[in-house]
Amino acid sequence: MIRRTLDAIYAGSGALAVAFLVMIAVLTVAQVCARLMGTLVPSADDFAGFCMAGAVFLGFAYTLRAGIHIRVLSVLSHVPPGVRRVLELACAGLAVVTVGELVYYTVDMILTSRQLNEYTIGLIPVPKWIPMLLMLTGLSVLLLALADSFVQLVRRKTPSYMVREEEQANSIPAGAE
Amino acid sequence: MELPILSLVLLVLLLLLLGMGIWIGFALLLTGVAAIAWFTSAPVGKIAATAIWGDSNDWTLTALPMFLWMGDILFRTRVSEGLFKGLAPWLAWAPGRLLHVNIFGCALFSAVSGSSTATCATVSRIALPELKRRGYPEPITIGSLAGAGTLGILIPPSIIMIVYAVAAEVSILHMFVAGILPGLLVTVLFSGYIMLWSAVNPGKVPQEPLRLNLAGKLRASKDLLPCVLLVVGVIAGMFSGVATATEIGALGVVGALIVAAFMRTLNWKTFVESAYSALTVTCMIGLILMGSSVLSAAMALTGIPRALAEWVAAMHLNPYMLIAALCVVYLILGTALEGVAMILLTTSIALPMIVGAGFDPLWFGVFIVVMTELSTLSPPVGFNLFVLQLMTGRDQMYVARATTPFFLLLVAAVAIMAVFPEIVTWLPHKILSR
Repeated sequence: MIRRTLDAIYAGSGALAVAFLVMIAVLTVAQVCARLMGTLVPSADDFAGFCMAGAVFLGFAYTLRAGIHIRVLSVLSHVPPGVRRVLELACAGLAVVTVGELVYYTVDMILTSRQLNEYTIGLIPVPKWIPMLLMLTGLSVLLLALADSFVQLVRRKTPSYMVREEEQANSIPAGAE
Repeated sequence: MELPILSLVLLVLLLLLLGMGIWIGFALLLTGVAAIAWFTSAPVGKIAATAIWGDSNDWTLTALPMFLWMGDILFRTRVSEGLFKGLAPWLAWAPGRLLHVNIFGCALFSAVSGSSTATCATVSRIALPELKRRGYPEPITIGSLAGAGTLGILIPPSIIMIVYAVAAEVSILHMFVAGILPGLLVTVLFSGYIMLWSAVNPGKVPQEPLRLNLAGKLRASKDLLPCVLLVVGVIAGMFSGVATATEIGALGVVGALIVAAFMRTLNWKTFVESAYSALTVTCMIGLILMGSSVLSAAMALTGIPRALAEWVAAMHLNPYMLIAALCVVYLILGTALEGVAMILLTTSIALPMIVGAGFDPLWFGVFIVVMTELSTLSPPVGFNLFVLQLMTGRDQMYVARATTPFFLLLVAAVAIMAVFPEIVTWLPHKILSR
């Protein structure tokens, strides 16, 4: 039950991220069309930037669980299972602490931005803290996914990214290179 | 702490983090945090959060998912069949015959794809079985496919170039245009090598019975047309000077969808899969970018890059010596890290030094792209080697050996570009500096 709820959260966050990605394309094409007709989409660059933040941050957890975030596996795959388990716990644990701190300071940044009453400088001024919520939400879901993986490791289960990394060792890499 | 000692401590920390297997983005982020905490009295957490937010909602980054998506849509079409059928009749006369299809097929697909693994896999999918059936020797087939596949990131559009442009704060379009002539140079070098090879080994290239007249050739090329039109569109967009990189990418997505519809490979499933694939790779790069935002901020605060630049400048190195030294560093890095990580890790540190030595940031961008190409051909984790291992069932040493001549030709291309940097800088300055 908990497992399914968690997976649904990652999948939902990922679906939202894909929607933001599609929005970038739609906004950009709309802007080109508008320019050809001699007008413009107000603050299109700002909104495309927010969509970018939405796609990246909300997609983090989904990408983590899919085993696509890259890490150096050459040491991990050559050490005995016991050592590997310790290292995997250290990796996930350190990541939990790092993202936890980031979530804390993102809240801090958002509160500061509200206090200073910061707005974007475009045709449509937007209070900066609103798009910042995308970063907060995305990082929070990532924190959840990392903590979930850490707990799985503690309970001697294999987090999905390790399963996927094994599978991907036998398929064409979906990298950027 | 003294700068050199601190730099060394940070380097060791980074290597430890990377080695233990933590996600690369976090390794960069934590190294940046350590640098700020040990070296300055600045508030680490606030700086990290602000740096990450500032770099992530930048609209120039939106070019990244657009070109990833465009490439992924095309990867799922049957454009690879069109490439082989359309190019083969035109190249059958050349010494080396259909081996040139590997080179020109990759070069052409590179102009719509920003990834070298996708380029390599797309062209190999058809060319490998076809060339094998016709009796071409396997090593040169494998070598030319792995080698020419790397053109995917040198000939624009290029994901690696977008990442570099963002890190080095140069225009993505300038970077793209800077890759065109070097891409052609490498294409010519590869093709020339195949001609030379076939002159030395005349018995090894099978006869090509397929001889078509002009009408027949044109008919065979009709499957190539969608791809060529897309290439022309992308290049025209880059040269127009009015469209931004993101706009070209977004229109490229639309164009790729039209091509897919035309080839009847477009359906809801491939649409969704391609969008998710573009998303996950964007996020993968995004996490590394997040780490490098913090690391770059830390580097700016600590002044390590400036000190390094001054130190190198004080040695009065011959610029060619500097490039040769960097070549060695990147070749070593490339055996362990993949391109995005390598670029984001090194650009903020090395760029001041390079510019100080008199090189153009665009030139360094192309240099680093070729270094990434070499890393995709280096054991043990080279992606293009891996693609051909999977597709041929051969082991890595066999594939790496077959690829060696093309690896060396890429190194030769770097040497040529170091002597004639105009190959990189002339076109972007000519076309885009109006």
